Amino acid sequence: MRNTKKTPRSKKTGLKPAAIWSIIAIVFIAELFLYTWCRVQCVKTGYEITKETDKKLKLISLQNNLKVEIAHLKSPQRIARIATMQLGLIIPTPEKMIIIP
Amino acid sequence: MKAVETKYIKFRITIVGFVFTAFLSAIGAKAGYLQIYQSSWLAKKASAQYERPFKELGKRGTIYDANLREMAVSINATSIAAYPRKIQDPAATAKKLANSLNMDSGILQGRLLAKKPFIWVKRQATPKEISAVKSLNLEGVGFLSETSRFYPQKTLAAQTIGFTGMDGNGLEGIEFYYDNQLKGSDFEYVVLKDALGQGFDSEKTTTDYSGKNIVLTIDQNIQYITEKALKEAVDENYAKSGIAVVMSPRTGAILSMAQYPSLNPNSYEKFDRHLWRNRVITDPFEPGSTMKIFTAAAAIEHGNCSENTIFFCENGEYRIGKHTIHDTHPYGWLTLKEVVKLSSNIGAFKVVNKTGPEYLYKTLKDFGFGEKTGINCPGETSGTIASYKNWRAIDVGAISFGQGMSASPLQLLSAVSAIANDGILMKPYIVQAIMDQKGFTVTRFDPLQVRQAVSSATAGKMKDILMSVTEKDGTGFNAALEGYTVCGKTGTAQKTDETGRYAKGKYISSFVGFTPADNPEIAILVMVDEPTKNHYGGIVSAPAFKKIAQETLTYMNVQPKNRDAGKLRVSRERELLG
Repeated sequence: MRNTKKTPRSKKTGLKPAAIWSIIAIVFIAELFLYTWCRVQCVKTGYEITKETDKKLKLISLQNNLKVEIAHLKSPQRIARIATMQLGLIIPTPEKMIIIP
Repeated sequence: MKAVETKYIKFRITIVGFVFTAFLSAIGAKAGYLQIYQSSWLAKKASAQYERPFKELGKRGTIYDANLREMAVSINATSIAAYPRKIQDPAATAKKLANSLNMDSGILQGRLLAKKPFIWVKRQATPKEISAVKSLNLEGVGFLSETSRFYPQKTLAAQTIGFTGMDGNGLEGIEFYYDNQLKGSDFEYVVLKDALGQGFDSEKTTTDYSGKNIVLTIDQNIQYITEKALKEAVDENYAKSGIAVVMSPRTGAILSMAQYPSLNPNSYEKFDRHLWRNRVITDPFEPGSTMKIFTAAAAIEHGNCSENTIFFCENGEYRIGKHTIHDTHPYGWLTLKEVVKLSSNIGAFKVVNKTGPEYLYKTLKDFGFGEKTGINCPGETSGTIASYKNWRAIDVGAISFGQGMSASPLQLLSAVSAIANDGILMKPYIVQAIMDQKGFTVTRFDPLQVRQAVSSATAGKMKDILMSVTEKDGTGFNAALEGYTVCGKTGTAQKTDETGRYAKGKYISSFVGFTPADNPEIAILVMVDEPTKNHYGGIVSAPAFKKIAQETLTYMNVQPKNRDAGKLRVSRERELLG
């Protein structure tokens, strides 16, 4: 009777540390994976940030070029040339001016 | 066996332990030494493997006109560089580069053979050139990003704005004067790179290192109107060059500053150097008859004269010592008003004789002649005017009608603006504000009174006199406007040659004035240098004044005065019906 009682006890005491070590190992491995995943994500995000920063700089550059283009298109010389040559407009004389109150 | 093993086991354990302890101690000591004494050197060595430092110069600020339209901007440009030590075959590389960039291959080869680690092949190359060189895929040739200055309005206000050199330093005009404010600051940042050398993160801060922006008082449209009218005046009269300036007499703000021939600041090196400077500010001229304005003002202010005081004009010829002064037409008795209106030199001399040279000198100094106006532009001349104590009789005569002294066009216009501004001389200015990159004003330049040059009453009387100049029988009738009253004065000054004598047939024709007379909005000066078709200021420069004034007043929405409301209504209805 004593022997039959002892056997399950020893089985129980033998499994417990293994389970604990397994859980600890799983936690450590999971932490390792999590850490690695974080680092990978970090680097990946770094690349994305760099890519987006480059894109932003390119867009700013494009915007600046467009601003220059607008400034050129709105230049008085160009507008006067189009107004006189293409549209046949003239500078109004004072009697043709209407001042809106 | 067992006894022997047991005998030496402790000894062996001790030896092994000792060896291990010694090794571990050595490792520990070395680790401690590296960590404590060599840590910064090691950290630097490690970071060099994954960090890449970059140094950049902040972008140069923008120059805007009064309506915040771009006059000078910085754009991104790519420059081609070479690292000669990395080039295996300099001759072949030079030949390929020269073909793509339209350069001399011999010169380029010589530069590639130089033992320098880095050389510029072409600064600020065009996109076409960049793609051509990229397609060659040459070893030891690189592309560097830079900023380049661009002037979208090309020749508009070119000499006033100035330009920058290849390295972005201001060389002329506003670019030079405000170089410190416009220039961006140097900054460094670090890019982290991976094993393949690709950058994946940077420590570049969001701080803006760009230079400050400048807002001018110049209006692009008025500048264009001025330049167009000036060009027409110079071309029509086959003249050498011309200058025109528009100013707000109440504030001293410069609305336009033009000179012709102009230059394109985008390629300034292709233009003659004498075209680089802003002659409105840097060059002194003999003002000629326009000085009679100040002779008359001195007479009213200090000489107990009124506009009706009469002077005998000697029927066109008057001898002063060895010299004889002439009028273009013979005149007898003329009032002070007529002396100015008909531009009599003899009359002007008689006026100064009555006023006294001391008071003429004082009045001229009060109007700012002989001293810099203090405008925020580089290279300003103060002009020359000798002390009245050194004037001979002929000098008194010459200065009364604008000879024997010199003034910059800006000085002359500022002085005339003082008449328009009830006798108050304003400091001319061309920059109204300095802004940071976010658009917040850092410095604001407000109108500044210099002094009361003449009393308000004198200025009022001078306005009446100057208005008569543009009447039908006045010398400046060609400057008269429809719908606006004009005050002005013509000037025809003979130029001096290299020997200092007056050159025959070389004149500076000018017209200076302001409009409308009762509430002056603009003061304008037009100077045409060496016109050959005609040389009188009233014929050469007055029509250009008229064009500039008419179009500028229209642009500024200044309502014409001599038009009744009935006609206006009819005109409007007709427009609507049409």
